[in-house]
Amino acid sequence: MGTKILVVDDSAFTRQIVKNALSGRGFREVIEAENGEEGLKIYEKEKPDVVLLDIILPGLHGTEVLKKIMNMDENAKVIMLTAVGQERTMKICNILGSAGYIVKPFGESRLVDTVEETLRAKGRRKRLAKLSEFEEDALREVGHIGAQHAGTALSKMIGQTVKVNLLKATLTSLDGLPKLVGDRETLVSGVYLPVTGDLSGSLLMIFPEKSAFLLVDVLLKKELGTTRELDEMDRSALSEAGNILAGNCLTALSHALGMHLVEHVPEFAHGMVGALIDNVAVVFGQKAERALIIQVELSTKKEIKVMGYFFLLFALKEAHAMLRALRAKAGE
Amino acid sequence: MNDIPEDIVVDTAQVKVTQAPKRLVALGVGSCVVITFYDPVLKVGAMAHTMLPDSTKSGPTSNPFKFADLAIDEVIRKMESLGSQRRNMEAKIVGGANMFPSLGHGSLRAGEENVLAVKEKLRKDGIRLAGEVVGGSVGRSVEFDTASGIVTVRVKI
Repeated sequence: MGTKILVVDDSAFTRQIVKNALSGRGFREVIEAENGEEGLKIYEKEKPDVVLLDIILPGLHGTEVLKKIMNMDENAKVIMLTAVGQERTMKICNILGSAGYIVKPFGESRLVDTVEETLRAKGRRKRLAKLSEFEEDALREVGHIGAQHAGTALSKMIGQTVKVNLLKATLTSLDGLPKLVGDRETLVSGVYLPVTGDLSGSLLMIFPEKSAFLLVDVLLKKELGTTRELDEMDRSALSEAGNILAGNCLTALSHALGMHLVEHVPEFAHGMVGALIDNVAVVFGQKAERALIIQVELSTKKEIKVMGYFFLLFALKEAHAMLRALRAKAGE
Repeated sequence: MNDIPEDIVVDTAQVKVTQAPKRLVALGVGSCVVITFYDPVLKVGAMAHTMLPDSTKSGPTSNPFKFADLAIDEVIRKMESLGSQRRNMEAKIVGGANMFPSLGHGSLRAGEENVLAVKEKLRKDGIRLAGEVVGGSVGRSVEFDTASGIVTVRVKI
């Protein structure tokens, strides 16, 4: 079967060389684009098997075009056309997921070899394959169950019914996490709990400062609105509350998935949300770029609105393991 | 009339370069390292908001400038294209905290590892380190005035 190649280069000469070299070698079609914008449009429509992409383009820069193609299609195979002295840019292209590069000027055989090699290779980003809507739904449900149990635990602690309201559950990139809570400087309390066992990931609970203060009032039986800053006792109370909530959440997850999950000593921090979440994201992000995010609101009858965010950080690989476990459970 | 220019916010994994009198701002910096670069001769300023030390130890990502090595390369390239000379550039670094007492793996924690990597990279590239506010367990916001070169660090606790 023939193969579709897209060449994005502002030089008609280079495009012609590519065309001459590749046509008649089993490549069904060589499509040309003069600039990045045009290249992106064609990519979307034609889904070529390989893209040859010039780095220095008029308008949109080659690295930007590469980034956009990779966002469109994580398995895209893009070979960069570069010149001597662009090593720095090549490093960036490599990190962005380019499949390889060819230095100009190039001979026919070098071009053909690189294209054929790239076609044989598996997409670099295959491991980031997406989940289907149905699978995301199933994971949402798992997260919801965990949050429900945390809510029940909180009810017991404060002696009032706590309603758990699921606001958002989604698989998302870690970069956007702080924005889900608010301004990066928003002060929050956070409890972080690493998870190991059949799954490895982490659980992060975030309470905006106002909610954290209210929780302290309730937990330490102070008059509502008394707590205005956190002393050591308050921190300890919040930490312990977080510990119990997270523990219950995790137990529920263990049951729902039929998996053995081990929780570890929780850590408490209070400070700007951007700083807190990025710290966790950095440690976690070395393993994965996306995570399962469950955002819940906890509220009680007595006008005590406690807002809480649960972030379940599991890499996609782990999410797939969860789905397998759910299927196995359903089959029992 | 409004002569106070709007601040330019530099988010995580971003690199921005500007000229006086604009201000560059990064908010809520934890274990990340914010690097400011200043050329007092041309009054060119830059800020990089880096998250991880080393791109060579990572797989593909859509944010190359979250890595200190690539972000610093990019800043130097951009400043040089505006006419700055390397010997005139001075850097200041802020961040590298550990918000959670023992979060992280191995002997070095994320914040410390970031700070060490940034210092090493600056040294290799021959950029003078003029100041630092790093470590601890507190989040910081950074404001960099490119008219004066002054870097202000705010904490909220």
